Amino acid sequence: MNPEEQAFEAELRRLRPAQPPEEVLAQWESAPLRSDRAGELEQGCRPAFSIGALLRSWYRPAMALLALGLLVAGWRVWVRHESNPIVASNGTAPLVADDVIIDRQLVAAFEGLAELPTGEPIRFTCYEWIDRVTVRDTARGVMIESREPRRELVPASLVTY
Amino acid sequence: MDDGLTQEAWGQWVRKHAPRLLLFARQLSRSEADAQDLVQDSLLAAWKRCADGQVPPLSAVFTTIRCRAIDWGRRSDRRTAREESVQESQSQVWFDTHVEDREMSQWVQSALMKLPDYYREVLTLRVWGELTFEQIAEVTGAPPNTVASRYRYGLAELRKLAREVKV
Repeated sequence: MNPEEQAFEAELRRLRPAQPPEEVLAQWESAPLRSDRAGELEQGCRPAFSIGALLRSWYRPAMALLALGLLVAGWRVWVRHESNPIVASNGTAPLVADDVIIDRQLVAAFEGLAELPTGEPIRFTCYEWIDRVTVRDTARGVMIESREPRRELVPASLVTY
Repeated sequence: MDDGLTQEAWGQWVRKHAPRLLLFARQLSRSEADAQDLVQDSLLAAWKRCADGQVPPLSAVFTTIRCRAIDWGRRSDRRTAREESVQESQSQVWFDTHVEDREMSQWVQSALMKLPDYYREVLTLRVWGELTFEQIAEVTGAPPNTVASRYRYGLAELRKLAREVKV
């Protein structure tokens, strides 16, 4: 550099950068104290980028994703179990139904007479049924029977004169 | 605070270097608030990286400020950033304005604002950051020879601009 440039440089150096506001300076001075990771400082210098840091940054999201996956998988298994009750209780293998009987039995039948809110009479027949479903797995010697009562009302027209 | 670097030593180090760090950050950020945030984040990062009883290397803090400023710039809309940056920079005061230097500080700031970024950052780091060309090369990622020539050309350009501003 020539003397003129050196003089100009010296002139620039005479200028001092402006001081930050006092409250900002105080904040910067106490910044490490407020850092929640201050306890880690005793471990010494760490590089700005490390594989460990990268893995740590991915750990929590990955764990959350894994937990979500397990939850969904568990829910699907539960739904499948609920929709298909013919599964062995120990969960080893589902039952194989080689004989299914669907049957219904009439328990009672009677006629009745009632009146609509409009005053019109109505005649009906009431049937009471027992619906029965039987499933057999002869290989495992298992039989499951389900019985459900059901009431059926059949209106009949009443001939009026 | 750990046993190595005491609160007092850290405070002294911050008070000594904060003005030059903030000057650099002001030149890279959109607003005064952004500049202060940049310095705070970078100081904290430097502290975390090096807490074995030693103060962090100044060049490392400058590097962090520069990298974060680039990241923040990428995240924000460039056009808006540039417009806001011009408006904010004109209201900022980059240098101490003692009576005898007030005029000079104003024309230096005006001239610096007109310099291309690659000249301005090298000049700032060298003159007010008091870094060597090798350290500036680490901060900017440019080879030391490039840094040295940018400094020479930047200084010449600043003189030229300063004359125009003064006239």
